[in-house]
Amino acid sequence: MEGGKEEIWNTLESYNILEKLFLEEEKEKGSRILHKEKQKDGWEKQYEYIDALEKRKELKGDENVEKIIQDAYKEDPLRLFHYLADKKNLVEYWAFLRMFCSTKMLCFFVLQETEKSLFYYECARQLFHQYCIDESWEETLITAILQVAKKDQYLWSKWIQTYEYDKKWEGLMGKILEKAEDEALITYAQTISLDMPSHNGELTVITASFHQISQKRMEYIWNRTAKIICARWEEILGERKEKGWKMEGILVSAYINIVLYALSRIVKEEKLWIQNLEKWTKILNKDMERWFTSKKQMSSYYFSDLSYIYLLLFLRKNGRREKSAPEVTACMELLKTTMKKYSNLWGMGAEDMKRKKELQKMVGING
Amino acid sequence: MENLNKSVKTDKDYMIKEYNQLLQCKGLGYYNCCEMISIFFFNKKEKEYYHFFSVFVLEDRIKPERKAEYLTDKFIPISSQMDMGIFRKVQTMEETEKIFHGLCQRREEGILELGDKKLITGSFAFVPKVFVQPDGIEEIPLNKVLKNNFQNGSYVLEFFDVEKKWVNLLKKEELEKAFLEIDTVVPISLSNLSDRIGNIIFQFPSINAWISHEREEEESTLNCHIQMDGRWKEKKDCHLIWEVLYDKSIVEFGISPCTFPEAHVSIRMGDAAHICRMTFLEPEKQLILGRQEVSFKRKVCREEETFEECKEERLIYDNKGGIIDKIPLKEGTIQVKENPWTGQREEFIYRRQREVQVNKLVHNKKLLHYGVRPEREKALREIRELMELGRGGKVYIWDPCLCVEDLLETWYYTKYCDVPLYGITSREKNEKRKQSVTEWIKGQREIMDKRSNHAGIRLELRCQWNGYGYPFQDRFLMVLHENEKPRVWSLGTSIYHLGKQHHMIQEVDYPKEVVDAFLELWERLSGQNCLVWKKGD
Repeated sequence: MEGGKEEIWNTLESYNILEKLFLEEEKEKGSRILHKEKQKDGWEKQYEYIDALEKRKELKGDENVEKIIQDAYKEDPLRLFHYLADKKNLVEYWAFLRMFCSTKMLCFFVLQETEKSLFYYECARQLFHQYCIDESWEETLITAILQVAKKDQYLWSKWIQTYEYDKKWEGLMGKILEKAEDEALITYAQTISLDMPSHNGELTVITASFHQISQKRMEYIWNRTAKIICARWEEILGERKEKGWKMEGILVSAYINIVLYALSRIVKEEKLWIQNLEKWTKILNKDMERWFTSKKQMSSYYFSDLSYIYLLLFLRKNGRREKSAPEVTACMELLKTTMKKYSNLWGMGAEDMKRKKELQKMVGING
Repeated sequence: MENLNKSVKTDKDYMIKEYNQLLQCKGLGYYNCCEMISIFFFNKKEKEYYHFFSVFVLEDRIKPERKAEYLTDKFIPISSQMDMGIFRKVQTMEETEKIFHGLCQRREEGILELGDKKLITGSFAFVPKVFVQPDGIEEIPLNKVLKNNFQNGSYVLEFFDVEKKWVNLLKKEELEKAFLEIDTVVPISLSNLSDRIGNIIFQFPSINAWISHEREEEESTLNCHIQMDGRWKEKKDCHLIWEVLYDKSIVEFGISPCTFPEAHVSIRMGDAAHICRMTFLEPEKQLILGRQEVSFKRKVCREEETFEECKEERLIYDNKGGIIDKIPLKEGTIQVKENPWTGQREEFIYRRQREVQVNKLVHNKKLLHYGVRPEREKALREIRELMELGRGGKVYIWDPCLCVEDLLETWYYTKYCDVPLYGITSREKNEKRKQSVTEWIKGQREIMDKRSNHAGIRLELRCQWNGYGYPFQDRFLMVLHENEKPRVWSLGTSIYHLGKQHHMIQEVDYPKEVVDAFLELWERLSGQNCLVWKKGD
């Protein structure tokens, strides 16, 4: 019996999964990819290769090997875990996990300890691809992602970049942020595509994710990330100006509520809010004195500046005292004039018209 | 020219009178400062400065700050003899008036004092006020040298250099270099407006009238709103004149008095109009305060292209994953749409107009010739335009050297979503190359995996190689629409070489035969071994 059990492990040890993956012509290339060091772009090259392999519909594992893996798991799941985690490269992780490991096995693996953050990443990735909302093993998936977020900030940022557009991710995001450590929170704030377009104009999806987080925890998160998010938002607006990307209205992205929450923290004090309003009104006026190559460029400067001002005024509408400081009144008069002057830059789309009316109301333009 | 100079209209008094008239018309603007941009050359041998071009833009700034600066750290070398400088100054109205009067008084003197320099000029002829409207249906040439003339338009008074003597000191390439250098510093584009070299323009932008408009959903009415700057308290009559144009005829015309603080004018568009041209003017002073053109997408056609902007943009990356371009996309279809209130004649007129427009476009693209000088950007632009003719239909490319990098430079810049592209390339005689065909295909897929997010892309690229299909040397681009004759262009060279060397792109006279041949080869390459890359169905 013991001999039989050891035979499973001996068979596994001698099994070269990589040979099964490569066609004759690909061996040299495949070999080159595998021997990439685990550098910053080493495993990225391997993921490019994996993506190409995953597109092959005929990819299928050896049934005998599958049986051996299942037997090994039954025999000693922890040993199997170490066997797999100790593999030298990502392609082997992928190949074994993808072709031979069930969801149950993946769920077991992510609860074990290893320093191999890339192994967690691949387990989490496999689980995520299988995940449907409210899956019974959702907590395990969250644990897997949290492991990645804890062990390797680079992998965590890659995860965010890869999946932030995915609807499935939105349902998990809040739950992960509820438990993520500080470093992971900062990486999150530094990585998310703040100008990600919203799906069909919906702004509530990301917000709904954040409603999964407790109030106390939210405060904790904003304390650590608000400045980063605001600084990045300013960079994004600056980039739009510099590159002259087409804008026919203010920038309202899928993450706009996050930007708003962050900004509300930064300008919590009245004095700071006024300073920001003055600063951005001045920037807007200065920018509109520039020479522009085209109306499109003029619009991108105008709406980039106005996008920031919109958020400030939104905060004012939702919590400020009605009595305004003289500086605020001066800014509002200036904004009123500027908005009337450049009224025809706005696009005709429903969303743009809505925001225009909203902003006009905020600055006191009637009609 | 001499007669013109002697006429009553163009003497110095008249110019000064016009200057004052424009200044005093507060309907145009409450100008409180002037921004001057002056371009000049320095002759290193003769130690002389030559005037190249200047524009004085009158402005209304919140806090006008007097400022003078050179816009480059150093003079820009243009030739062995000549350097170029660009000077900018924000100055008071008094200083501006002094310069204007000086030019009027001494227009033949040949010297212009600007800042600390004396610039040699030619003799000037006066050009009395001209109203320059913003670009609309057509581009207005003078807008290339005016500042931000995008809203209502501007009046200009011009001093036209009728000698331009010293410009002969520059060779054609040196002049072109100067134009390019100017464009990198300030958006004044003299390359297509070389007649203005040596000239001085005073620009009076119309900034006090704020004109906006909105259309009703059925586009039967255009609602125009006009407000004036709050400081404008004059009880002057202003009028809005409009012409509604269709098929180059005026289908509606009107004139409406405007009362302030805010005027609202509803313009009936009729059942068939496409362009509304509005002129806002102050009759007493006989001055135009604004001119705009609004075009309409009328839902009158039996076949309507309904392409709207996509929320997603197509991203193109470089090899390191950095974004090099974002292409805004449109998605939609060509579908049947009927507007119950529109005139029945629309359908026939639209079809004729579309045919003429497409034929004109096709005619212009019947023969595209790329010359001895590299014209890669132009060629890319034109091939993308040809590809975009496929919207609502499909596109085929047949090129033995085609690769995904070529598609990333051409097809990926088209803006219409979900237009299928089918391409055939070839690796015939691959034994001469270092890579195997399978390795090459893998490499192509790896490139595609990292070079774009492929938003809106439907594409399949197949490869002819040893034993699959048959070798070919054809290079064709084909555009197909249902129930229409296909259009096929012979490219003369591979996509990779477009614009890089001499070749011609010609539309072929027998497109159907080419399409049939393509489809026949396409079928032969249906095996997995021939699939290079695919996205979408």
